[in-house]
Amino acid sequence: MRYQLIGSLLVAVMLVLGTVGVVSATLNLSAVCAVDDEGHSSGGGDDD
Amino acid sequence: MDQRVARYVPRVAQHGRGAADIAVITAIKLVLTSVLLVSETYQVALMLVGYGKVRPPLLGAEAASRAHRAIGDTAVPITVVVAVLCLSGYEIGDAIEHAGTRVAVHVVAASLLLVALVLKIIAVRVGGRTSRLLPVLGSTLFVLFALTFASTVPFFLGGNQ
Repeated sequence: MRYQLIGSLLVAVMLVLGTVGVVSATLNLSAVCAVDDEGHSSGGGDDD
Repeated sequence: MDQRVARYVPRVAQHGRGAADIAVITAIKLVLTSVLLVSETYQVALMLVGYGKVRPPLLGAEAASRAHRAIGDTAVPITVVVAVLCLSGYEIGDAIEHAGTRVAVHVVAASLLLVALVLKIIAVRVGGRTSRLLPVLGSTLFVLFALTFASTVPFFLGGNQ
């Protein structure tokens, strides 16, 4: 039972990490976090 | 800045917060909401095993129920964080005015979600006869999570507004 529980929780952790990765990559999150207060990215990304 | 988030920023930034703050809050909310929907879907699968509706060879009902409880205990504070970010980060009235039905649906679904969440926590804590309500409350929560997700995240990830 213990191993089944640990396995179930590991699956949940992997699902969470996968989701964070996919959504972050889709949003280009590193560029979003690097914006200044005028809305400009400080590096890279696809801003104009 | 990513164009999907950038498109939303100028409208909300004029209400006192910096564009950077709003962009980061929006991005964090999108990630957390997506995580919540995925984990809720997994929660439904776990309780199908927990209630014996599905009997996979590698997972017993008790382990599935305990995993469901542990994941649920983690999902609740994340949900509260998202709600607080939403309430503190945006001017809800203005957002409804700008984006119309979509944001209105989001606000109603999210509010009902919080109510259902409180009811489910009460049902879990009280136990006894109220336990019969858990499948209904859990299904309601899943639907409300899906509605909350569908009324926001695809519009950013898909590039629409």
